Amino acid sequence: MGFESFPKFEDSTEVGERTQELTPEAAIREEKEVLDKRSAISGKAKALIGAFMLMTAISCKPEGKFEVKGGESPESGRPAAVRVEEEARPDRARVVRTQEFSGYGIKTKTGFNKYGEIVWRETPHGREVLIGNQ
Amino acid sequence: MGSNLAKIKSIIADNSLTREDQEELLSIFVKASENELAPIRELLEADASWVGKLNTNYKVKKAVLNTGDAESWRTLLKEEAKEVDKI
Repeated sequence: MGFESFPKFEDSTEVGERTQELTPEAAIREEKEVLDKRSAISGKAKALIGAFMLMTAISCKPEGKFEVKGGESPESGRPAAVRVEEEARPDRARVVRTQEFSGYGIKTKTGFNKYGEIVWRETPHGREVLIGNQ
Repeated sequence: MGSNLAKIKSIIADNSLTREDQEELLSIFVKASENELAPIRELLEADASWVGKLNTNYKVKKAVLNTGDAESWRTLLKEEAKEVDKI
């Protein structure tokens, strides 16, 4: 499939030269224009179009206002940066989990947010708590 | 959990994606409504190999949207159109 050959998608800085600014609205509109022309076809193709358009819609959704806090994990001593959802700070609470980012992977650790703030993201397993860096 | 999401979750769990990729993909689908998930379920039930392809499609889209590069987006849309035409 052609997507696999797309240039280095994991490093967004290497996806082509920027030739024209793409807004989420334009991205959705252009995809609709391209795929709508093909919508009067088989049920499976319609399902695929629906799937593509859903992936776009979700790709265009902001993941929340993330800020990156640098520092090091108190447990491993390794550099750690934790994404904190600014939109999800309804209260201050004991933090139950941290996420230590190491390159593309994520490791989960136990600890406390130095700010005492609880933040989370929705996951397939329910609400997962993220915390600021230690 | 709705029936579409539950079925999709089951199909993804049986896929060979890494655990991280499985979780990321599921975290995408939990943001969608049951109606929005209907075509995903239909597609994955017909051909589970689309799990990996949709995962890649999502990652590519995120990367391109991050760059804001309209030309790369159009290239991606051409790939999508080819996939649709193949079915």
